[in-house]
Amino acid sequence: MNNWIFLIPLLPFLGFLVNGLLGRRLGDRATAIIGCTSVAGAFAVAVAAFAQVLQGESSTHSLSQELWTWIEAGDLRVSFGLTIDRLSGIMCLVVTGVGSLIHIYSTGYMKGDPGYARFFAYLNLFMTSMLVLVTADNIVLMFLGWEGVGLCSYLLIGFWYKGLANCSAGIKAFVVNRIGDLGFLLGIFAIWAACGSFEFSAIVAKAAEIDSSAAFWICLLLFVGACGKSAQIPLYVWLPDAMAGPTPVSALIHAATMVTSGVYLLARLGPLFDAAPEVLTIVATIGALTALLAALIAFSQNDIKKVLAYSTVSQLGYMFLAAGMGAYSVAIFHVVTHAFFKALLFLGAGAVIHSLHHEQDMRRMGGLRHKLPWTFALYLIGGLALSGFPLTAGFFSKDEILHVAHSGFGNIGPRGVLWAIGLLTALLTAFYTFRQIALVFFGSYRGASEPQASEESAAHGLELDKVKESPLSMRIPLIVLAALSLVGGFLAIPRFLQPGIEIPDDGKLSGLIIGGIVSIVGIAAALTIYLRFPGALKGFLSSAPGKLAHGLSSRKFYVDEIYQKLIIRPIGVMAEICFYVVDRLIIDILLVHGSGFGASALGHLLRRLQDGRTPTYAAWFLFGAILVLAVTLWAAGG
Amino acid sequence: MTLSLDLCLYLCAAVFSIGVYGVLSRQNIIVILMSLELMLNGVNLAIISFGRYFITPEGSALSGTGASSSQIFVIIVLAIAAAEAAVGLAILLAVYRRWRSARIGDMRLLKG
Repeated sequence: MNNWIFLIPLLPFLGFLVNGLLGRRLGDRATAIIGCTSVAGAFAVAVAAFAQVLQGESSTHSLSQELWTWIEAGDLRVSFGLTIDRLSGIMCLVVTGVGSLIHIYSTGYMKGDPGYARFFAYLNLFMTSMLVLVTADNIVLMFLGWEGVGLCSYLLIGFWYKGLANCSAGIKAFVVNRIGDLGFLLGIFAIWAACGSFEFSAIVAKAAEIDSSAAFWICLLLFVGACGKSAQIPLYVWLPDAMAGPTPVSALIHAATMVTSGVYLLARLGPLFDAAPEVLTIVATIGALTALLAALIAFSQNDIKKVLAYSTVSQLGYMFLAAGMGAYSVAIFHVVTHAFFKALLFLGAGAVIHSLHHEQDMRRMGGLRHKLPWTFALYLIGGLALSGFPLTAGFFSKDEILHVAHSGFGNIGPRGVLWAIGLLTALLTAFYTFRQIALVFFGSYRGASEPQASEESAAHGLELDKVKESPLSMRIPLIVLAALSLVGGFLAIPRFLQPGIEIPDDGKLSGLIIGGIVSIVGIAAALTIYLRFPGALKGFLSSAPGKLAHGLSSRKFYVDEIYQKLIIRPIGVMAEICFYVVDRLIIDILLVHGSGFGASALGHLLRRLQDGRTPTYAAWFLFGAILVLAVTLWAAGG
Repeated sequence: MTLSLDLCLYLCAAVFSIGVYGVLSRQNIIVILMSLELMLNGVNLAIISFGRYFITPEGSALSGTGASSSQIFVIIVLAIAAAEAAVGLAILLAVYRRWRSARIGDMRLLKG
């Protein structure tokens, strides 16, 4: 089996090549088949590899395959090596499994789009990069995958490139990512300096001996990289804008897989981070704060996808909270369950958008549960999982995180404040999720009557009788994901990944009960307010504190504006200086034009020597002769 | 005042300078050629003076080998000066036939 691991990233790559080069010629049907089977094939190989890993004697049993030597320069050797152990096996299964479902969904969603082949090509390229990222056995190869997914994210966000907003969103994603990547790269260099190797096995083995300030800086830098990719404070601003891309992209890249790369990085280098406890504190704190901030912003969003985007940022915060407690396995558990229900929610939102002919504003939806019964039921399951309703997958993983925050994990003691923030955010999560469900599926349909609510939406909504349920190709993946969201919680992933460390069991039951109550309270509150007492809500929003709260939330706490003023404008000013002063003035005028001018002025001067008059020339003869004589006498006399 | 090397050289310098002045500042080509001859003869004077006043280890100034070489040198220079004057005059004649003028200021073909 070892020798077949390479198929996992290779199959999607072949799909990318075929669809990218020949897709248009082959037609939509062939493109769809190639795109989906390449990922499904990778899934099959991943299953086989994982089964073999499971049969191994120890919990660290792994399969590895070294393909070729990528970089070799003196002492430095980086190989293109892949490895499947429990951690990367789980990631592979999630990526290929959820990925296949999303590919199938896309065949229906993107139907009729002129860029159909390009879409599947990019999607397959993304799968390749993501699979390289998770199966890499050394950090440089992982970085290759990291960059690859960033590239694909850019390509797919700006997929409908004719729209300027889409392109800007793509650029924003790429640039913010790049900032994180700088941290990551510096971290890689630091790892080389401290450990002398790039391989994960070597780094982890040496982790205990590394001097603690080196470990601190390495981990901090790597965390900066993780913040960029996984949308934590301060580098989360690209993710909401990334909703400009097609919904399957949002589901796959910005919910289920790419954004979890940062969590995976921390899990991979767990022992290294354990050696830098201050960094872990930072990680946990930022995770908790991000979770809270994003949840607060999600309250006031009117676009169905933006709510889910901020929800993703918030849930990623939970994952980092867990990672910051040293409980990497718990974080990965949440990665897996989150992939299930968030992909479900995004695809469900996509189904709604598709049925309403690309309407995304929730103020023009309502009462859709009658017209879209399947979508409603499946979306409801996703919403319950996200809110942590008892016995759903989200319930178990979120409460595991809260329990770890409350009781500590391994060597790290409990952090009560972060637990409280997490609990509060859970309440908010349930609330904004069911706010969304109430607005979209309950009440009366507002599509035809509401006037144009924002520039992005069409002139008026679709008439209610034209709204139809989505096709089977879109519904089946939703059904599968819904099933996973219900049963996924029963996978004992934490014990599976970090078997040595036992999570203290005291308070576990009461934690579960509290979590369940919080979730139910939030759901009930949202449904009551939005369905029974909309007037009270309007009243609150027109009062002074209500206006302030709503303003802060809907303006995203002005973070984008702050970045614009503090960072982007100064850089813009520097760019203008470089352009006008350095480029135009110094280089173009002074140096280029000036040297030409200087040459011609010198020419004018020298031309006066050649006046055609013999006496002038004779005089220069004399002058030269005197000069030579003087030099000779001076040199000889010394 | 005894005739020393310095005095001879002053004379030589004077003659040479007058020649230089003539070459550079006179308009008439014949005068320029004459000044050129002056320069050559000034240099001849210098050669002879050096020959007279530097006595070689073998013999005296007037009959020694040192004096002979300077005299021979001067004879050769004179001969060459004569030949060159002839050629110069021939060129002058050709130029005069073409431009009807013997003024150096009128010869401006080299002006670029």
